[in-house]
Amino acid sequence: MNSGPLAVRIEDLRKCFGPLEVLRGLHLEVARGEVLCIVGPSGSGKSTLLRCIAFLEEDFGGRIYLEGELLGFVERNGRLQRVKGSALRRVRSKVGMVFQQFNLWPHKTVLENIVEAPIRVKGLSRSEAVLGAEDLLKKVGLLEKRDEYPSRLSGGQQQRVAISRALAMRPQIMLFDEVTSALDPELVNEVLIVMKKLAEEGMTMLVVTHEMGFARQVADRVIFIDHGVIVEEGAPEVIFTHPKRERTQHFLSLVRHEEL
Amino acid sequence: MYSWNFQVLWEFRIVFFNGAIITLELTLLSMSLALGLGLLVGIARLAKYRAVSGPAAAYVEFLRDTPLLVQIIWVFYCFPILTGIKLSAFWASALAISVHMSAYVAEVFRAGIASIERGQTESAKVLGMSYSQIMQRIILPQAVRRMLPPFVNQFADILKLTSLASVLAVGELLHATNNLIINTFRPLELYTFLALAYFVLIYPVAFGARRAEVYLARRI
Repeated sequence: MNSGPLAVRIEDLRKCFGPLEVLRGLHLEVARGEVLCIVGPSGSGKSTLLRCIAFLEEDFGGRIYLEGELLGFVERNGRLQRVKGSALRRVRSKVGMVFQQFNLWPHKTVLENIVEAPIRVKGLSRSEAVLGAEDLLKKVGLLEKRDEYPSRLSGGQQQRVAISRALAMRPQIMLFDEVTSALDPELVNEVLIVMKKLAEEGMTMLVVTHEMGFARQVADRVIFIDHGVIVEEGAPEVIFTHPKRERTQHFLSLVRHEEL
Repeated sequence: MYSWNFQVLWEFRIVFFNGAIITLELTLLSMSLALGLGLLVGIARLAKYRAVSGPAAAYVEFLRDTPLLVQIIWVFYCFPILTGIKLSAFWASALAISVHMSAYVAEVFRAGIASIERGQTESAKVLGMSYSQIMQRIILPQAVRRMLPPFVNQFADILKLTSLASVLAVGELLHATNNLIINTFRPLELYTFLALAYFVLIYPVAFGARRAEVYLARRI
């Protein structure tokens, strides 16, 4: 793995929704180029963790560093002060995120979805942005769909477009939040293949998933989260074959049961 | 038996024509101002901060709970005394109608914006787009499509409400017709035609909007 600062460093992350404590002092380090799969029961805080890293949740305790830079705050005299606007967006632009529900913009074509942010945010010329977008679409096998509206695409195709849209901003870290959970079973694989390719290219990836097969094959490390803390972590073969904690064993037995 | 005389309509067609022009001017001016003002108030109502959303909500509530006729009269007679700004009857009517309708427009904007799924904003945020970019490029284009039917209703409302400006003797359709009746003593023909004239002005817009809706529905 590369040297330099960690891709992601999280210190004592806490997040509440009202009286409900979703993340309870979570620590995590992710190296550059590492593929980390995050598993755990629903409501365990996995998605909230990704949403904090993408700064979609803004009121959290603790610190998140992306490529060595503090996210959402600056430190002055040992005190954290909130940053907004372009200062926030600069650090946040290190991450790209793909959602369970794709969240493509239905009033824009595939191509327009992808070039929107590179043009408006990065200030690329339209022709540059289109070239980049066509490259990405070629990679995910959807170049011929460039002028379609998202509603004309299958779920798997929409999700591949959503991945391309995130990659068009050249993020250093990609977050995947249960990106295959809303897909029909026969469409899951085409999305996983794209993600696998991305992992092979050395992208740093944080993947919340129920696809244990994918986690086993692609992850460098798996963490098991329950009740807002990391219960267990390790190489996929260790976690999946010899989980130490009872909660992990229990969860995995439930998941396996489902897979049968 | 009443003997109809429609000759009078043709004879004074220019009066109707001029009245219709003023009605349309008043409508288009009020609609534009109400849209602009309503957008700002609608966005303010969705603000996270009470200091912003509270006054916006009060604005909407107050304007909806007072009659437009009273507002028109107030703007014409009271507003100049309080501010020293003298308004013509036309501009006083336009201002009152705009502000009044902006309360309704604001509610349409608020509901339309709120109806767009949160994921639409979130995906744009993570891509680094700013609040105003997200509004302009992602949320409003989608919301406005959903808002088209209520906006057409409001256009029709405004066009009909401009008749209230006749109390300030603005020469729109109703006032022009009233004047004509005083001179010709033909209320039946003229008022009947007046109603028709409003219909002729409003119907094409409603028809066009329905077609536009179908077209947009097919594109998404």
